[in-house]
Amino acid sequence: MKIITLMIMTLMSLQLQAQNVMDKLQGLLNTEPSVEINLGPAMLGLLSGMTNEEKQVSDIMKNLTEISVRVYDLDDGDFKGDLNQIKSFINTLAGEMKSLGMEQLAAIREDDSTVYIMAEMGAESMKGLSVMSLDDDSELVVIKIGGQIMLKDLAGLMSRFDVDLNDMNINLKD
Amino acid sequence: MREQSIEKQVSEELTEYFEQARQLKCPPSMKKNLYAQIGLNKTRQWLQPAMAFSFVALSSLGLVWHNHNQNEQMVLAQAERDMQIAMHYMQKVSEKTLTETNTHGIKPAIIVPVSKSMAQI
Repeated sequence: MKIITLMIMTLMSLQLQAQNVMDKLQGLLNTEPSVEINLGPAMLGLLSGMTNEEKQVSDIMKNLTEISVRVYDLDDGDFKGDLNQIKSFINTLAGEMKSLGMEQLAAIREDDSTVYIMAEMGAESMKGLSVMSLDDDSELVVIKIGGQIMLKDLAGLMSRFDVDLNDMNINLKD
Repeated sequence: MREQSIEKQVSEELTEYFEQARQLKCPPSMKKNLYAQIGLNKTRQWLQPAMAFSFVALSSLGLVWHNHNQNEQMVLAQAERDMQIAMHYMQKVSEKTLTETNTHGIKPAIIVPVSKSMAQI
């Protein structure tokens, strides 16, 4: 019973952690994200239905529960925060995630770049993937993918939805 | 006296005639013709409002379905667009990580599965 309670508490803390990352960042940066995407289970289910003819993609989508993206432009006039503080925050956060049992798949610590790819591992597949990337001191990207994820599936998903975003009427920085 | 007797006889005959006529049932064909002449039709009476109601109900249903379908298409298009943006950033970060990690040799054993996965793109 104690083990089950402990497992539930760990799972809950991981969920809270994931949600808190976005909230904490929002508070720290004190600026609105230039891109904000929240795809929940309902939306992913709809997309899965839409891609029914592509069975592989549809199956991958069915296993996902969440895709959240936040992109902050740090070199525009609105941002007045401290970049070192953000780097320190990302490093601390990655450390906290590791202490909660998440696997660090990749890390880059350079003068102008800080990137972490953290995975919440299950028995046979990943249960969640968090990406934090501060690139060229100008753009901060935070991505969270929840659900059962296989790396090869992720590549398939990226391939399926890989489009030239310049064709779309949105303001994205390359 | 005789005049009164004739009147009474006529009255009685007429009463008897109309009584007999009243008791005779109208043949269905005649009944139908009579109803038709005065513009009454049993079938039409309930059919017309029912048809009108059905038409309104069907039209409303069609309109609701069309709107629902259109909304769903819009939501789907938005979701697909969001997914494309999400995967764009995912790819951007992954490519960057892969290049940098190959250069700096950070945890090559763990990065190998990721790089294989990225190579499929």
